Amino acid sequence: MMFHKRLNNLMISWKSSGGFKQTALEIVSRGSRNPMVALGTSIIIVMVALALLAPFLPIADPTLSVIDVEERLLPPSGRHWFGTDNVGQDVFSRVIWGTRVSLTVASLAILFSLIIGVTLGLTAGYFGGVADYIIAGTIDLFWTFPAFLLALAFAAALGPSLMNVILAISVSYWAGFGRLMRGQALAVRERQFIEASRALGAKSWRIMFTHVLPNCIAPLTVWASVGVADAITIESSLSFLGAGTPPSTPSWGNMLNLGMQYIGEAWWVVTFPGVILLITVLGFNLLGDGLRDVLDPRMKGMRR
Amino acid sequence: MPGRKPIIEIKGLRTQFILREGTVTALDGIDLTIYENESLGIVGETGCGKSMTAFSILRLVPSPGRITAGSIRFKGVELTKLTEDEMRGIRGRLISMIFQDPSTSLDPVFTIGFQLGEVISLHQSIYDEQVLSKKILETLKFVRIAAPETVVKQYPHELSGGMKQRVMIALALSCNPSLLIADEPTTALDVTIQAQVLRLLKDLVKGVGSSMMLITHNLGIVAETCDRVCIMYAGRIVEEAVTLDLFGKPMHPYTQGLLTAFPKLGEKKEELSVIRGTVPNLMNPFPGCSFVDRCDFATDQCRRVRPKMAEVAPGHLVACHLYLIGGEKDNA
Repeated sequence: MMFHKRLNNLMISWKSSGGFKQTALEIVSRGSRNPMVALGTSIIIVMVALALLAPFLPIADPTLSVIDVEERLLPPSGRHWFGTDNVGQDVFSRVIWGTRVSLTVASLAILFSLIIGVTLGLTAGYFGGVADYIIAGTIDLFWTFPAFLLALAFAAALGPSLMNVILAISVSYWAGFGRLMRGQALAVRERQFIEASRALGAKSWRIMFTHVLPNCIAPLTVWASVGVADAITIESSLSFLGAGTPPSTPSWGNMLNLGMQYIGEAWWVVTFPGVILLITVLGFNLLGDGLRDVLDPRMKGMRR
Repeated sequence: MPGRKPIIEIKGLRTQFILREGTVTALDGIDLTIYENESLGIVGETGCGKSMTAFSILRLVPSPGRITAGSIRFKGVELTKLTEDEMRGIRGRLISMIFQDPSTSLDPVFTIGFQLGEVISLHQSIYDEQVLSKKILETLKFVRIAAPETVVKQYPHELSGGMKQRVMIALALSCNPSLLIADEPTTALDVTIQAQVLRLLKDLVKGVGSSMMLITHNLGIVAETCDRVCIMYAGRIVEEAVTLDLFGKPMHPYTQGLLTAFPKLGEKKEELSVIRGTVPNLMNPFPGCSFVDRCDFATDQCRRVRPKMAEVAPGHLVACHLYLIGGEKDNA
């Protein structure tokens, strides 16, 4: 059978059983009743909207090529809501454009980490043996270092660019997903329905991706959501230390770095990006915490 | 049973676990034949190799276990020589298996419909949504599930144990397999549900024209369901007979022990009779009969020579020296 045919029969099973729609609806309805998920999601929606709409909003240009002496370090006012920085750039505009950088970097970094971690962790946990020995060893090796230090080392070695920051975070963060996935796969593969599907003639890849992986979605989702918050913090920290995005890019970390030098005379330059960073991170953490409750299989539907 | 076509013929099957501490012989030379439209019961206590026989047939012996000798011929095809790919085509399509605990045999994160659909579309190459949903409903109706339209959209935890086992039966029978292996299919169920599920299983297997291998430790279930019985002890078959013969005239001391240990209704007993002693360690095989330490009739010969299976009455085979007077000495 060809690959698309295999995929096709899965999709058909999905559709003809009405499973997907029902599951999705159920999670949405339970999620909306959970205050943490609701608040977290609202914050994230606002942030994502700001990031997407940044080029269309009637805000000042976030980067000036020349220093505007007249506009330097102005306090918040009707014209500059969050004031201006040391080169006369509008802080409000830079904070909004910064959302773009932060969310892009964080979500791509977590996506890559997730792909690497899940693939390796699933392989290790499901097959065991030599594969597990090698992969689990590699995971432990990466896990030894704090993700931030590792990211700092990679970012410093690769040089400041948006793509390099994403790579640095992915490379240092995947081990967490790998470890989580491996543990889950180890536990799930011993369950009887795995044996049952083997006895009914399912292939290893099918069992891995249609039975082991879906049984691990809940913890992965929670971990990923909290991971985005972590990645935002790491990105900002890297930029703050000058190892992240290039200084001209409007990123929160860069703004914090810059603003810190003027904290005595212009509090707004450092405060606003900090507060927005805090709110965004809080949003993802709230979502993650809430999802942990919502996705708990014991709370799924009614109980027998 | 002359004149009937065998579905599966197992000869000298030996499955061993090679561990650091030594080799455990889980199955030690199993000979077994299941004929068309027949249901064979395999009875024995925990750890005697009943389930291992099933896993060996499906070639799903858990690592580090391995089939080390013997042959398994399924409809003339040697299963031990097939590649993993070919074997996969047989599992679920030609040989299916039902497990003991229905509450853990279904994937908790998918609906019943999805799981049925996956098996059906995979084995029957159905790619049309409507055809498949119709087929799923038919299969559920087939195992006499009321309101299949609702059950299709339900998750395993929303169903009762009996319902789940019915779904498992539906999954196993959805492709009309030639052989169904039921590994203690009713052990985890309520006693009232047990009878229902057994009757259903029996009817459906007959209806589809499959053979069944029913693994259990409950002789009552065998009496109700099976045409023929094999009694297993410590990785070997010790007695094989038509169900009625076995219950009427048990020969092997172990079988006799099993039958007396079974309390009968209306009989007043202060103490239940038991078979004394414990199962021998499968790691250190010795030349004699494995039941020797627990047997009331054991002789010196039993310690030295392993008894072979011999037909002592038509269709009634037993591996015990008590019935082999003078024959087959010292050739184990």
